[in-house]
Amino acid sequence: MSSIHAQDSSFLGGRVPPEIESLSKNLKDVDQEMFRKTLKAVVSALEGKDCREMMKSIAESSIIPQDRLGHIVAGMHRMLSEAIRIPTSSLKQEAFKEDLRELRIPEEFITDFSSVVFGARRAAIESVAFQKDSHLPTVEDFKWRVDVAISTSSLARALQPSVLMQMKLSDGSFHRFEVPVSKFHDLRYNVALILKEMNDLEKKSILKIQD
Amino acid sequence: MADVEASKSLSGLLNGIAQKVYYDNREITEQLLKRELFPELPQDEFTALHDKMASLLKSVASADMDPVQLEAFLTAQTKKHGGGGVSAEQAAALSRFWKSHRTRVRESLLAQSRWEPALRGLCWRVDLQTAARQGDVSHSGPVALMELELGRAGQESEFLCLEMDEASINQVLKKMADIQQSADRFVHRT
Repeated sequence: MSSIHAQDSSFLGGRVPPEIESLSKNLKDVDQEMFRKTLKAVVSALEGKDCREMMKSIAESSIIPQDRLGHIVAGMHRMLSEAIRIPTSSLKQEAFKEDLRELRIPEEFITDFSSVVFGARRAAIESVAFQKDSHLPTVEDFKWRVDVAISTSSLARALQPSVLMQMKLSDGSFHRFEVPVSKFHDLRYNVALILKEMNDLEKKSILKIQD
Repeated sequence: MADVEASKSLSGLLNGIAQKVYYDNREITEQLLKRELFPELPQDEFTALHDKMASLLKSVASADMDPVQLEAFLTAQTKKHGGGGVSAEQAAALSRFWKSHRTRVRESLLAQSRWEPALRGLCWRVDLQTAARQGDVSHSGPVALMELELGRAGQESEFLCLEMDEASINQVLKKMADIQQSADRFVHRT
């Protein structure tokens, strides 16, 4: 067994997380229907949906003790998120199945796990995982207005253009601010510089990261 | 010699008024100006002088006079008789003061009518993400992290952090070109 590990290390890395390690033990005598219901709940959690109701009905209808069920859910969740983390180009379906066999997961469950990781649900789970990743908010909408103040309480003839910007960010917040003309030039210059830096970065082949 | 002293005091007074009224310097008070610049002058005379200079400065500043306008304005004021008139030294001091402070005073007056938070500064960084806890990021392009420093006059700055990929940087840059074009149309006409 260890020789297989040495040749082709598991997708879980060197040390198998305890909740996955104990998964085979906890899944013993769990029937397929029960397993599928639980898997469905875990997958919908990974897709970012609210699965509390689903979990509740599973817990109520099952004969498995609560804490064991808790361990099963934790193990499934961890295992699926670890597997989806790795691009399909690096983790092949056969290798994944083989890793699960090593963990002594029953064969019929392996097929189900594998269809989640390599099936149609993967895209949805990946996009949720991507959003959950630590990110700063992005700009969703950017509106602007150029004002020319004609006259103000302190200046009879102001005739000064200024730019009002409003940004809607992906976290839902709105930010409105004024940009004085001198700052506007500064901002424009810097945004152009950022774009140049990005283009330069893409040309540098040393930074092309490949699996 | 006395003339030089007098014109220095007048310049000092105008500077003091500007500090107080336009540059938001709270440390300058009328009492301080009197004590430092005109200790000999009776209080009521000083108050009259102070108010006259402040009101002249206000007229000059709110009209944002150019040198020709200022010249005409001061000539008219010096011809006035009685208490409201302006002496030649006072006119000269005001003219000197305005020459060096016009831009700054105008900036400060414009800022007084700016109520939205204004952009004060910008910091940025371009990152290439190489790994993440979840998902595959190795094919995503560079990401710009930006920090905009925003603040209302007299208040501390707030920082707005956001990230943009190349496509949105490109979009923002296009919009900024539109803004520039639109602002230029007005600047060239006026």
